[in-house]
Amino acid sequence: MPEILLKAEHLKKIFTAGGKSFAAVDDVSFTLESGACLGIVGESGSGKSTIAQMLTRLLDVSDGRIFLQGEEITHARGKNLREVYRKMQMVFQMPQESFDPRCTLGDGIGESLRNMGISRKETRKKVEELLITCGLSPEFAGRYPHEVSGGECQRAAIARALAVEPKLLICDEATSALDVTVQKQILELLMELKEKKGLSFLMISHDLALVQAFCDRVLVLYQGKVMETGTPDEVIFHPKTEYTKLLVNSVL
Amino acid sequence: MEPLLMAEHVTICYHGKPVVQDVSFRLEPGEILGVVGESGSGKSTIIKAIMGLLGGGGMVTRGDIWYKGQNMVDMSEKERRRFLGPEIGLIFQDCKAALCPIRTIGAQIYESLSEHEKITKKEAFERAGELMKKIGLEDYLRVLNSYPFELSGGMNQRVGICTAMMMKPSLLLADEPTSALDVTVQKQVVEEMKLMRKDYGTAMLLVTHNIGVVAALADQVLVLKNGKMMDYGTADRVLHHPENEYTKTLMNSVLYLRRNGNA
Repeated sequence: MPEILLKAEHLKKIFTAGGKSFAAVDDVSFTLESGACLGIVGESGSGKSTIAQMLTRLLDVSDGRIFLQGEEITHARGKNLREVYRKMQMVFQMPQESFDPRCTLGDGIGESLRNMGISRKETRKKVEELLITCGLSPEFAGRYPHEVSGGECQRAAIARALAVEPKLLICDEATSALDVTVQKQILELLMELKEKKGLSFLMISHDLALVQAFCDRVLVLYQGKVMETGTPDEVIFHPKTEYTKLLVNSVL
Repeated sequence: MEPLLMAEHVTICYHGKPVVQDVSFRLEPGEILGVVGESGSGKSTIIKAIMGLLGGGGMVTRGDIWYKGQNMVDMSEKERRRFLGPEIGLIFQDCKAALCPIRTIGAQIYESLSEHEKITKKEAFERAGELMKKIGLEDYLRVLNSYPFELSGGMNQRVGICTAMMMKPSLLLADEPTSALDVTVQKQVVEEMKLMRKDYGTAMLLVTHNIGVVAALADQVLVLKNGKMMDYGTADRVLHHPENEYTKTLMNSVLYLRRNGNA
């Protein structure tokens, strides 16, 4: 039995505004095994990104619990949260926006290493290695986010996530802003990392075809609720709910 | 027969730098031409050139764009305005942004109609209502009395299509008309655009990066890369039997959904 890396139990997020409350995520549970890849698909407003934000502690949960390697991280803070981030990293949709525009990519990638007390020289060497792993030449360390293309910046963002040697990457629409040819290259890079480093993935996407190509299991969300789970082929070939049927039939 | 729209060796420059180079195509009445390409390939620039929306610094430096035998490139602003609306309609990627946020949908549809013909508000609303019902806005009275922010993305997009189609143009220019929409809504909008072509015989120039949408709608496909024409031919030839290297790479990069055995 592979180790259970990430476990979410009855996650719930309620937003309140103007006296009204709204459940953006309603009773969502799932587990992710080590080395596996779980896809979360849904349309706008289905709660995909809210789940990612709760898992990464960018948002507090309203109810439910999150476990990382058996340890509860639902309310992790400070030092504990830093430990969580050494195991779990994120890649966002807009790479350019996820880097500080005033720092070079090298600074951004190396920041976590410097914070761990690694010397400047070591960090520089490590950053170069990371860039090469992600298919960029070491000279990119000296460039600023606006000086590189979207695809190159996303590669740098992946390099930054890999710096702490995490076990899990959470990708929130990581290829949605990219051209299809670039998307394919980034997916190939992620696939390679999965095989070589045994990384696990949580892929959040609106694209069923991407999830089918990349994930072992998929969770279909609609208005904050889980519609169904299964292997991508199970869900796509034999959808059980009306909504999943509609979603599958809508893909052109 | 004279083509509805024809581009002949068009080169478009921004500040002296060419962004579209030597692009030619022709569009017959009722035909749908899909223009595909990645970011920066010059797809939208072609539409802007037809509409005269290139703005400062942008210019057609070579070639001509003919609409029903008239040259759109040399046309004065005033002359062009006669065509835009009744003859040529435009829908944007984000119709909500193209609508005025502080006026109701109905007022804006009436404004665009009354610009070109003598019509009362009541007549305009009736005509809009009929069209809206056709494209899935059943509750058209509410829509007409709403502000853009009160409607969802899909509804705003339909309002955009409705406004463009009100004058039954012969040509519809669509710049990424479904790219900001969820797939379920995208499918509906694609169906509605097919219906528009069937009912009104509107020809369309469909600019998009979404190969799926092009495959569903287009008769002809033009592939652009960095402003240059890579491929041009029938949809079946370009999408399913590409010969050009770049088109092959592009088509191979597209992720298709496998449904029950067949790819």
